[in-house]
Amino acid sequence: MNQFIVFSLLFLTLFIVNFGWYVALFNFRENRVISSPFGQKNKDFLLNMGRRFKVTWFLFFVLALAFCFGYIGLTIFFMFVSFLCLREFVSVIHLSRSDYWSLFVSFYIFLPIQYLFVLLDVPFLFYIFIPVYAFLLSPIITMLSGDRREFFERSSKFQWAQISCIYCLSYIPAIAGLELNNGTFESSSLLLYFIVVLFMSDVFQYISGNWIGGKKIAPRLSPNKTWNAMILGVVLSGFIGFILTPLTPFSPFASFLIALTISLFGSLGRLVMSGIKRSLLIKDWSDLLGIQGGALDRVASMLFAAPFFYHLCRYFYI
Amino acid sequence: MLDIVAQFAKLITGTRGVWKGTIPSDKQRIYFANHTSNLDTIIIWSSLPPHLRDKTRPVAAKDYWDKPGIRRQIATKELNVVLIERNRENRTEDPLTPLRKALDEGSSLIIFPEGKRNSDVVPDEFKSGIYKLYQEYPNVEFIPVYLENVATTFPKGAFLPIPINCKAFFGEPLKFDEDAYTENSKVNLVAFLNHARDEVIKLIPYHIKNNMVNFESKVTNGRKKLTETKE
Repeated sequence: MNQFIVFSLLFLTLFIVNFGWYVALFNFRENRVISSPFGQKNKDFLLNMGRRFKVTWFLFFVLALAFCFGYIGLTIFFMFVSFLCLREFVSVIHLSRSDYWSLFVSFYIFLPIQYLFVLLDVPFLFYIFIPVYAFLLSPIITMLSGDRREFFERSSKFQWAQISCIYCLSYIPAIAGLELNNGTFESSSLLLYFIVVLFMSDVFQYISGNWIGGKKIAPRLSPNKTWNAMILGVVLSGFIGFILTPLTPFSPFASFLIALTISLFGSLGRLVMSGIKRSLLIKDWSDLLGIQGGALDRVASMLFAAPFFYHLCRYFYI
Repeated sequence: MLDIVAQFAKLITGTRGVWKGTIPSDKQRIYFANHTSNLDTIIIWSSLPPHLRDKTRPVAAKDYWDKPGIRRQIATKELNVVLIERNRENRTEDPLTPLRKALDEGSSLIIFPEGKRNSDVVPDEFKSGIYKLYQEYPNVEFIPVYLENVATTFPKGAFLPIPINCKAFFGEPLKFDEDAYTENSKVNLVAFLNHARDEVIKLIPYHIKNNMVNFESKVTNGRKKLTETKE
């Protein structure tokens, strides 16, 4: 029931914001606006936003559909996302034909097995399968290819691809499988809480990054991110967490703190992923979603926040 | 049937045609690309708009594709391949004759001037057939194509394609001003082949060029030299 209310609220918010954007753009076209909160120089920003809305609506409906099918639907949906992310990751890390078998194993064996463990709810194997077994097996397969060129780089890139795109991502559907308060709590709403908090965190930081200056966090990795904008975004998402307390088994204050934590790790993780992109000399992971970049650009913040959120819940609310 | 194959390949590899120097057109064209995998033909073919696919025929080696069984079936029935004789000893006629026939019929062609598969990022030196076609068919547009990542998706000896985003970059139609060069046809030939290869190399995306340590040396080492030409 709570989930339904939250989805309706999201729909309404998205609709109002989209409508407001449309009015603002219409005024721009007619050249009637001089005193708007945007200003003429932000026209590009407005046009950019318009393209973002389309993708956001698409993702909204796909996600709503996945939630309708419960735990199985969510696992399958995120398995597909994981597949897209892994595909984007390995497409840009400069592999050669000798990496064929490592890729084969990652795509056709490790990925399905990890999500099978999530689906069947085997916590122990799900925790260690990729970080231990895949971590050790994939360099062995790379070694068997017999190609000595950049061996260390190639095998570490594979390990990064597997940990980030398979392991970290598989924590997202696993949140919906948590059995909290002795199994009396419906955990898929916890996943909704997680997604909404991180989505709002991204939105807040995108907007505040455009409006607030200050000291840059890491200008060479991500030129637009400032400490001020990040702190504002994190605190605002904390309040979103506070508002969404009914979706969780937490107390309102704990919910505020947890939302703060996941938003913080999410935004730092986003910077790490953008550092990887910089070192590979690319701007977006792919052009799957047009101006929004690839699937990995969308889930970058979730990759880092999901394991923290999952384990926080497991430690304190089991 | 082949449309299904093309759609499947698109779904798995996320293939996209990137039209950098030109747009899809009904004009008669010869697409020449770096040859990295048996999937190359399908990748180029499926990144063309559907109405151009029927009149675009890939060129392939007879010794590989004209064997009894499924290969011949795919090559002749589905892809409508133009078969070319690679083996110098078995040749009785000019190997370009079937290509000329297809061009005279109005088809566009997909050719791989390297002559064999090469899994490297930088293409090898080109064979001379493309120069003869360029001289004989001045009205046909020669489009350079660079295929990214296909070698990793489906290398030699693989049995299942790996899902990797592949891209086909289409460049500007080839322009080669013959008068700017010497009377000597050999010099012209070498200059043309290197020019055509450079046009393909130009299409290699920025991040691949700059992340490779020995990119420049590979480009220079692969250039055809005048003394090596025998024809």
